[in-house]
Amino acid sequence: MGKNENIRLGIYLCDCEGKLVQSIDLNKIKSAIQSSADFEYIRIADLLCGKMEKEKIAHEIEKYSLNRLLIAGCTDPFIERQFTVLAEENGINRYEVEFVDLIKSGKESTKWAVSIISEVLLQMQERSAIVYEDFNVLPEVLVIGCGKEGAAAALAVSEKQPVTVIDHDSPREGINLLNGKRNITVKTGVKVVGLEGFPGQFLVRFLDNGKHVKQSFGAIIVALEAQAVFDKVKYNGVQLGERVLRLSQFRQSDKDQYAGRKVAFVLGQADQDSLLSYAAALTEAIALREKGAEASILYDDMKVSADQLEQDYERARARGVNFLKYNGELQIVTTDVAATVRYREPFLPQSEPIRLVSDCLVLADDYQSNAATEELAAALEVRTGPGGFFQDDNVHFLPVMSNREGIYFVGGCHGPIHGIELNKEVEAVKAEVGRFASGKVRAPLLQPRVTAEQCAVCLTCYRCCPHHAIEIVHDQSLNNMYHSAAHMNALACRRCGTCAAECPGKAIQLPLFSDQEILQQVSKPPKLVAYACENSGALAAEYARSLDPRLQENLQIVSVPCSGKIDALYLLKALERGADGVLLLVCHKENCKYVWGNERADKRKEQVQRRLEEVGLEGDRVEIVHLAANQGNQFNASVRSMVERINQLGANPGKVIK
Amino acid sequence: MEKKKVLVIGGGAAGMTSALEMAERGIEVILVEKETEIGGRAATYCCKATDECNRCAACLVLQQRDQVMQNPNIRIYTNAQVKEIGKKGSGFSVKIVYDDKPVSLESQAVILATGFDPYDLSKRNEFAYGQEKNVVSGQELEQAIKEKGSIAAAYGDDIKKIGFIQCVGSRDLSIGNGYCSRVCCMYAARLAKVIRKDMPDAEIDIFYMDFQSFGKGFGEYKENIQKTDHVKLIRAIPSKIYGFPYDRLTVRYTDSFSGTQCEDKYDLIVLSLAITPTEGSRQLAEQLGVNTDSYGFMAGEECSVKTSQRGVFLAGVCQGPKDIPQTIGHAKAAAGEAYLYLCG
Amino acid sequence: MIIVDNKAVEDVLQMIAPYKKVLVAGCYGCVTVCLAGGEKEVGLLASQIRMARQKEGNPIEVLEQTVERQCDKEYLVKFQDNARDVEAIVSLACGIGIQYLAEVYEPVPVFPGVNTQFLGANRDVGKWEEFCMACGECVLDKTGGICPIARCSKSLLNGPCGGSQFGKCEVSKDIDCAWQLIYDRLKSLGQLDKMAEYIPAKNWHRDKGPRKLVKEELTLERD
Repeated sequence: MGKNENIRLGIYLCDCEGKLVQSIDLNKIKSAIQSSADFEYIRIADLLCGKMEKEKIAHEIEKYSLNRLLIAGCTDPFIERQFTVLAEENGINRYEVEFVDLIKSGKESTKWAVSIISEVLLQMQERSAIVYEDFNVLPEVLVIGCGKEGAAAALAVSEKQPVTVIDHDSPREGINLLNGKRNITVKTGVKVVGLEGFPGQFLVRFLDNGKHVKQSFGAIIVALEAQAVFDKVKYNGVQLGERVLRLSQFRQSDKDQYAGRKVAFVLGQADQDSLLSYAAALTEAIALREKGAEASILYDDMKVSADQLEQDYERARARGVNFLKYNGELQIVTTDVAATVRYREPFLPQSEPIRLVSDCLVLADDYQSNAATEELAAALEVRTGPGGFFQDDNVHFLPVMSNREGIYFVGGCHGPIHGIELNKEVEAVKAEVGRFASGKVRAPLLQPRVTAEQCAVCLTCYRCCPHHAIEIVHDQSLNNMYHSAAHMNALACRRCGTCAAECPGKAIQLPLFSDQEILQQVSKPPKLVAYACENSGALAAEYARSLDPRLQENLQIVSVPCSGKIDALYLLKALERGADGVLLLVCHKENCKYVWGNERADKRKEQVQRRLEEVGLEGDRVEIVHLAANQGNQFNASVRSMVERINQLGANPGKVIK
Repeated sequence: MEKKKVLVIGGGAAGMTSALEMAERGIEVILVEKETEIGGRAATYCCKATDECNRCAACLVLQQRDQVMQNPNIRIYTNAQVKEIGKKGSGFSVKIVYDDKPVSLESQAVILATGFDPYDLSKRNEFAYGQEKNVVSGQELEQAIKEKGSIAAAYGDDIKKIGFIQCVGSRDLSIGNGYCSRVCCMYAARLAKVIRKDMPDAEIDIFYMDFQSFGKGFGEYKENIQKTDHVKLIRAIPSKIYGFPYDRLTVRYTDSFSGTQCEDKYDLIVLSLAITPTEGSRQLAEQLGVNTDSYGFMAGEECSVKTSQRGVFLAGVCQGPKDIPQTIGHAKAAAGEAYLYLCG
Repeated sequence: MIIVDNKAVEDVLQMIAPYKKVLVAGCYGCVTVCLAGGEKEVGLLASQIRMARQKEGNPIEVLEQTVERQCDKEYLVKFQDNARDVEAIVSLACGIGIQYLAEVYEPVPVFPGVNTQFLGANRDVGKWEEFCMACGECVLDKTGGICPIARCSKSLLNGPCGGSQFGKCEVSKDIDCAWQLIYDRLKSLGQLDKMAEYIPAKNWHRDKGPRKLVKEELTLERD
């Protein structure tokens, strides 16, 4: 479905009561545009911000069914606001109104005006020319892991979609929860050994009780649970026994046996990354009180930063659970009849350690990644992060996303998680896989295109793609000696453009960011060129402009969707064509939306520095800055220091002026 | 077939996420924001990266804002207040005041993403907030660092000692706020790291009750900021801050490690104000028949994003305190449910 | 696949010092796959040459073109317009392509822009390893599919030398001992008896001169 026929553009050229300089001839502009651009209506006005105009424009918008406006003349935020409001009142999205300033540049001429208006028109067209396509997808969802967490995810998703839950073992908890539920199939003794295909059409290879089988799914949810482990080193080497239990064991035990007895929980020595042991201890302590036991909780920081936890804490206090704050190290001594903890009370630092004697001591466990993680991650080709848990340690992937579209994480597989947080993750994951529920997914056709003639099928793109969105297709129609070429899947591709930058044959072009479109912007570069990631540098530049507008006068900012798209050639070309310096503005370490684009950019910078030095040019003419979208000041500081540096270096002796 | 429409109230992190998620699925979105720009509070926060990302996620909000502004399926009303909202047939009708003019809108579903207000300290003057210029809220500090580039640029080079006071209005049963605001310990710790990078010699203290660090690798944050960044953690909530007649801010507290009353001088005090429900959200909840919890946050029904009113969904902090990634996850979930409601 | 590495640019600059107009010729074959001689490398080298010469005050015009394979004359023909238009050509193809290009476009001088390294495999992006030395008498059946000629530093045919330690070669701890690999592989294949099989020494003497391969049944020549 092409959207081009839906563009109905109105162009207004304003003479600003003669304020435009003599060298700009609006009539010439009008005829130049008329011959080249696609639009519905064009008009030259004396003064667009005049009183009579408002109604007139409203009338024209209606008469010509305009849905986009381009206004050229003098402009400032106040005037722009006036027109966006006017546009919105007449049903045009405010962001479909573009302004071109014909006054403040100092290089006004008709030719110049036509060129900048054409540029904006082209951008508007490109934005509107995005074609969407509906892709057939399978609504079936695979949940890997049939513990409590997998069961929760399966139950939520099964409301609208068929779910298959598999588990290598057969944990009772999940199976009991799922027994006989509509839309859910449970298979045990099954593990994933391989994955082919793309979101919506994954082909999963299983080892099903010793037999190789395969089945297709639209999406995959990983729900392996974290494993509780007990590290006695954290408790001075205490031996577990009748008097000393792990919290995870204690939770399984029958609470009736503790009636009239004393139980103490120790928190804060283990399980630093989650709220699991805090939540569990509160629940268990309240349950003990109901059975008539005495319950104490020893803690250093009472972690309550989740829904309901503070209320549980409050309830536990109201039910008479003793909360004892400690500071520093604990000593645990057990005998046949009792377990004693010696601790220091922070408010009484000088006193002797306090002794807490109980019949039973319950110690918090640690949680570590499921033992099956590494093997499953390799089979699914998804990344793991700190502690061997699933998921990169990168805010862009929170809460449930993986480096691949269509594969999601829920629960302890990507870090120990407390029950209420788990529910929120289940809701989030349900929304993610819900995209596939209708059997159709709509996506813009913006994935990179491959010119088969230039594709050497070298696999560089395939290997560099952080999202596993690339396949090598074989077709007689592909016009190269292999009749094969790389192909980017529209549903798997996140459009970072890393593949295009890495391609040794220049066979890959990313729509809206082709080499031609990018290099055109540095055809006659100013002193400094900055290739800026859209997620950081380009947004910081926008903010920086409001802080110091003049700083960007001799700076050409070239936006790229990800710094992984910055080709070494872009850097050399900018210098060859006359820039004195080039900046790469990229996201902070471990903050790349596309996993490793910023690391690729680091390497490109080094590569180009080396290439410059090889030919006797200063490597310092290229610099990389890691920054975030909200760091306008840092942007300005980086530009200033780079300008200073290139002023010191002097004009680039390698520039080839044509 | 006419396109399905959803109304998203609130253009912050949650509202923008829900709007984008719906728009990407082909639903037409009306986004109503009371401020002059979309982005919400989180768009004013600073980056807390040191040499690497410290995972505050503030940058995500600006990236979203950019996407929302470019999305043709999202119609944005800024400077717009919801005056009246209610059921109309199977959908909803809403009257907003947009740039001082009334506008009537209709939609088939509503996503509430009204965010939060920081705890209002005006009724309590023990922290001299509003009286002393160097007693600021965490948000104000974030904004100042974002706008000026560094703490020195924002408050002057002569800042030698900085104190963060946690739980101001949170976990305080005396005012009925028996909940943890969840984000403050981590943002104070991250800000402390940022300040340490700018000011290697400054003294940085954090007054706290229980240090709320959790999340992958955050368990060690408490130890890490003490050892690596030489931040002093003081387990006490100060009782009073004096400005005048002293030249520096004087903080009075009981040190839990010595049990004694102490007074210390600071140049800048940062208050971690509680996350509280917005005034407007109460009215919205009433008009829509959405339940609220005992603290005034909107209450989920069945799950945390569905409400007692069919077709009305909750996104983000209006349902309870969340950090930015949690907000984004929650808002995606809200959009997912709204989508199932409209098209499922 | 033939693995090549880029030559130092200063060497290339020296080769083309006398000229004012050159062609940088790329190849979409092996050298593209090993990221040293495809269209992108052509662009990078061309850009470097232009800037270097500009800096010297001795500007040069550099044309860029890449064809499917430089080891087939039908593809080399595609260079004809540019090749006739320049004073010299820098080829980023392997040694084969460079020679063939030089032959086809004589008397235009053709210079190497890469050093041809070895026949090898691409382990991962940016990592290559030598696997074969084109000895002409394959022994892989006897060595568990691991070539002792290419992968043993001494090309030993009958077991390791005395320098192998902890599975590594005495030449460098970064090199696996090929005979350790062969032993392990044969063991896992259950063919350890092959270790005892004697492999006769190869005749390295090139008594027949440069090798040629002619398959009469395929040539178009008539008897």
